[in-house]
Amino acid sequence: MEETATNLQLAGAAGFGALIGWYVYYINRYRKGSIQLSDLVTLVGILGGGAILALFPAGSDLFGAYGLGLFIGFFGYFLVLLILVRISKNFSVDWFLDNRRKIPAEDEIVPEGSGVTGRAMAAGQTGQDRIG
Amino acid sequence: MAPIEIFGSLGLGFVWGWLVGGYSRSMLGRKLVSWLILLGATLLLAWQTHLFLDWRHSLYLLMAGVSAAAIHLAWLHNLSRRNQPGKSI
Repeated sequence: MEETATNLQLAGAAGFGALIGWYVYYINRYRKGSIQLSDLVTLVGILGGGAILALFPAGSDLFGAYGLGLFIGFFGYFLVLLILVRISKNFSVDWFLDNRRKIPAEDEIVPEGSGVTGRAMAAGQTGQDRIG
Repeated sequence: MAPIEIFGSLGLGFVWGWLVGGYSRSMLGRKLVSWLILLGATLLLAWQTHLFLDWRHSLYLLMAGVSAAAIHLAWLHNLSRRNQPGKSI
């Protein structure tokens, strides 16, 4: 039997998906080291794990709204990065390839312990990452 | 089939495919088991979509996933080729 969802429920599911999508890009961007099996398990768990099974009844529109929100959140983050990279004088689009950037000027520093992105989009170097 | 269900499965597929595209580029030359794990995770998501919706939406998810992975790889390939003319990824 197909269940109907209210607009508020749909908006909530989409908002939940958008948060998850944004966060998935974020944790993937700040992931350190090579791709591990645990990373994939975590990702699958986040994208379609127990929370999703518990929150959204099968056959309802809520799963669809969640997927739509996920897309908006994930690619929204990517879009924001593209815009920021585009307007910045310190980065070019090649940052997405290998994380390159301009060296700080002589009167600038990068504080120790500040957020270091391993990869912009898990591009990595060919053959260096592995699962397992 | 409600449009929101179609867009939802496409959205999930695009996100997963984009991630897989990034991973697969860095996995070139790696063991077969790594690829099988990636394939297994993909099938797990497709199976979940089948549980929530139906098999057609699983197909949408897989199609979107393949498209997004291809787009991501092509984009990275273009960036790479622009930086190193004559040298592919």
